[in-house]
Amino acid sequence: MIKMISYTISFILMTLGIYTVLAKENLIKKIIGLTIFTNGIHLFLIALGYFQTTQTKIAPILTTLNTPIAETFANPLPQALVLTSIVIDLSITALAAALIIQIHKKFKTVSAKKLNRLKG
Amino acid sequence: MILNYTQYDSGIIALIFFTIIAILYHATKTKKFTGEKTTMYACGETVDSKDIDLAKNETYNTIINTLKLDLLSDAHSGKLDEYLFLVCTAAFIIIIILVLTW
Amino acid sequence: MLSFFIIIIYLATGFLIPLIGLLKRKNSYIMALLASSIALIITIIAIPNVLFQGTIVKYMSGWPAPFGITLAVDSFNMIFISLATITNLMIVIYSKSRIKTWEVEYYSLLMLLFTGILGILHTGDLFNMYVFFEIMAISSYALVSFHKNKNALECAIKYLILGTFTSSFLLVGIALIYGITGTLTIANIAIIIASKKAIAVPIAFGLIFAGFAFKSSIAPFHYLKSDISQASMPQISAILASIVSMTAIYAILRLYFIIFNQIFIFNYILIVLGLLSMIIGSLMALKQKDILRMLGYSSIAQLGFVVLGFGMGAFVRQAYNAAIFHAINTVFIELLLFLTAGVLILKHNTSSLKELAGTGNKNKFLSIGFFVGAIANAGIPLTNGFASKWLLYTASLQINPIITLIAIFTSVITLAYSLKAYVVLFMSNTDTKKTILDKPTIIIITILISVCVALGIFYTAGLDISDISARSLLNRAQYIKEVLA
Repeated sequence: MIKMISYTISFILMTLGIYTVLAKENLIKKIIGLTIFTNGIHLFLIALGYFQTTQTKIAPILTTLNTPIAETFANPLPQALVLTSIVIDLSITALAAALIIQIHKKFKTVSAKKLNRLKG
Repeated sequence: MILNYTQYDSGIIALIFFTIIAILYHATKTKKFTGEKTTMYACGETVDSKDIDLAKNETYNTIINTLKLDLLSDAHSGKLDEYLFLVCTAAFIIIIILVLTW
Repeated sequence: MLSFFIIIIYLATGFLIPLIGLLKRKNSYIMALLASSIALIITIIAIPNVLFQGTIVKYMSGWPAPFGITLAVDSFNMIFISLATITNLMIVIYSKSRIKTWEVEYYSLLMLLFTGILGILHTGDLFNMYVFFEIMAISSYALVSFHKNKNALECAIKYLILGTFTSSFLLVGIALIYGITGTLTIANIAIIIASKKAIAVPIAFGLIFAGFAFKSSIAPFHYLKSDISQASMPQISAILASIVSMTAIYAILRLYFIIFNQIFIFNYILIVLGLLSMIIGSLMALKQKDILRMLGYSSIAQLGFVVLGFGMGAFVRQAYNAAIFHAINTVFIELLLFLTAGVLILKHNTSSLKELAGTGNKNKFLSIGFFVGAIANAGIPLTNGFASKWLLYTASLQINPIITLIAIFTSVITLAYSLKAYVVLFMSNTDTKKTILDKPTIIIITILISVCVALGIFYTAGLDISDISARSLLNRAQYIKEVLA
């Protein structure tokens, strides 16, 4: 049940992200849409590691208090992939923000419809 | 290892190097620019250079109008929204084709 | 593995140039030149190792195969790695006298771009490929907008949004593959996925193909290629048209031949997309009034030939050799065309054909370079373009004569617009002064012209190299055995 909710929410996030990038006209809204899209993918990746058997999972930390049983740990590999992907998305957003500031200085607008100097 | 190198190949290589060096030597001697145009020969007649001139923008207009390339040029309009929509559609069509023949 | 040190050298130089170059700006060029030369020497030493040993595998930090990240280099890799290091050295030497401000940022971004390219070419792990792909992509977004004029800024933000959008498709595909198989090493995925019949496998492959196809400008994903060529500096357009596209095609083919080998319809898809790229690329280039835009569309058409060759290879075995040979030729031809036109463009600070008319009148050396590039693009005999295109024509005759007809039509249209550009630039009746070329540019253009002519006359050497690579591309069992040993 919780498995289905997690996957459904991640697909809803991906769809909303794609809609925002396609339909909105302002450049800043498109960058926000890209962030929503990638966050949906991150939720999908983490959910892959949590729901392999029907048992509820706990965080994959080894301590001296419990004896580790492999089936009760959540899979730490997708969590490492998501950390890398969050850093990549951060650097893309920073570069996009710098570019949008320069565009606003030169063009006096941040609308994607008015940026049409190169055509053909 | 790669070629079977015989003595004829040395002759060919020497000939090619001589040709390239001769072309470069003659080409880098600058000639004076006289400013007169020559006439062009086209299958028995001479054509005035006003009719056929590769440097004008209207040279290939016959091909462009026959093949209706203006429609193709309207598809590359430069707007970001249309490009995003076309990329999404193309990816969707390719995924549908791959799934239907699995 | 010797060629692994190239990645370390480029990455370290990319971070050391801002540190050392802030003291004295000229040091950045010297460090970049040193790094590129050492990388080229290492590549030349490493080539015989790969030829004699088959596949060389390195496990990062000692973790064995299914648990850690592996690097795997075989003969198919080694061609593109050597092309990448040669391109890097040429671009660094070419940019010396043409970048007069902000050299520190330019050279460090260039080193990071080539770190990304070489990382994709070495790796044998799926998520590692995604990380290096993003390094290459972000460096190219920053390099496109380098001089901050209006065209470059507009083009960079469009490139960023489209590029990140399609890279996220790539990430969804990788997540689906991880969900099905549970591992990320390419050889291990190939063993596990043969027994799974999930519907997610073709969906994942379609998404991964869409992610890589935008960077390599295959037909329905080719949209921003000509805008990027117009708006950025000529040497950056040369890199994006030649080696970045070949790296993306390499990534698609490596994943197809090792993991997704059972999807046979993909060969038909490659043939259709190749024909579409050839038609769209060459016909759109007829109407252009801007030399860099015309060369951008021309590179889409040449990449259509390469993709067509790889699609036809499942039916005719020699088409794989022809496609790899045409990939090598395309890199050199595109470099020659872009760098030769770039001399005139950077001197007169414009790229439209009307304002550049006749500016190359007194430069006979540049005219020889552009002429050899133009006829090699079209496939005239005695150049390298003819040798690979002839093989593609004969291979396509055995499948369907319509493909040959479209290919020959594309070559004729290519000759038409290339000669138009040549006549406008170098034979118009205006009175201009001669552009003085400095020595490094003369050396680079001479090397490119002689490589184009030499590969055309001694084409058997190129065919032997392509045959060795094609054999190791198709040798799926040996790749899996060497990586998982």
